[in-house]
Amino acid sequence: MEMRMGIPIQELRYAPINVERELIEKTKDAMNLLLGVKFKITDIKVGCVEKGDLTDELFNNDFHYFYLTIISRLSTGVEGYFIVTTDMASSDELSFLLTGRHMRIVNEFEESILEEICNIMLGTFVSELANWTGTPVDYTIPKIVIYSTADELKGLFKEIKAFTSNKIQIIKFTLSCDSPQIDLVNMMVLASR
Amino acid sequence: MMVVDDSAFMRKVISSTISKEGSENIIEAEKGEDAVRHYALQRPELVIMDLNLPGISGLSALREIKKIDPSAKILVLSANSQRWTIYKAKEEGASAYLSKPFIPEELWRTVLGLLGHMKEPIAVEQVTCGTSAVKT
Repeated sequence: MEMRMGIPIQELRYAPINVERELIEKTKDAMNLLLGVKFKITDIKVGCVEKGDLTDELFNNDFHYFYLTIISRLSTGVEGYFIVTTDMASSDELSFLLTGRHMRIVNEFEESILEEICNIMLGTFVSELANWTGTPVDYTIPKIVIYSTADELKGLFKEIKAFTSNKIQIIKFTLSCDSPQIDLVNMMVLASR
Repeated sequence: MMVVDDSAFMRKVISSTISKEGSENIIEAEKGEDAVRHYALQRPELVIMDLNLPGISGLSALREIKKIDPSAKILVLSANSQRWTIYKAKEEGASAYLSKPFIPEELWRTVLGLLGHMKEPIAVEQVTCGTSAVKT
């Protein structure tokens, strides 16, 4: 089977169709099917950021807003990370949609619900990207950080920054639902080549 | 039957989908190693296997189970729908491949097909997408 090495993210921008939009639409469709609600895409950004600006890019200096962060390491076709963040109210609504119960305490089962939602979102996006570019991508089991604090997140970002040079490529998008109100911020961070 | 998935939630969703349709005696495994051990001891008639597992991967577990029993029926159920992954699963002997999220009826139809309870053959490349929003 023919494989190309390395995903040329810049090709996404110059492709005859808006590829990043297509990939994100597929991810949104998967989430709609999984959760039985209607998400809309409220923000898409594709481009390069300076290493120092990465934290602000995702968190806009408001670390306390984020209750849940899930990170997966990407390798083989790309070197990078896929990060999903959301707030407490959205996490509760996600759990309620799948179980009919609100989260009172976050136990192992509730964590597994949130992890699986992110796993499906990540798997859909990465698979679509890999199939489009013709390059397989491996990814680790998503790691969950509940009650994300500034220090924990800064630690994770330090790890992310350590793997690349000054410029970092990102694909960032937000999936939002009005009823129930859910916001899921997704960001794929790739090492510049 | 055996359900192999690292997510407790997904194991419950899959098990409840199958048991609602009348299938009892479902073995659950969280890791690939556990799946291989359970298979060697209990020989379930069908294995529903995730790929992204802690420890040995789903593909490695699939390979090990096939070494134990070349006629083992294994349905891969994964959020990873990269064509190379589907191709590799087929090479390792997967009987069918469904992507997450799945429609519960589609899962059951595939299970019936693999168990020989349906006339329609199931293609290994089959990839479907749907909802797994099953209340637990």
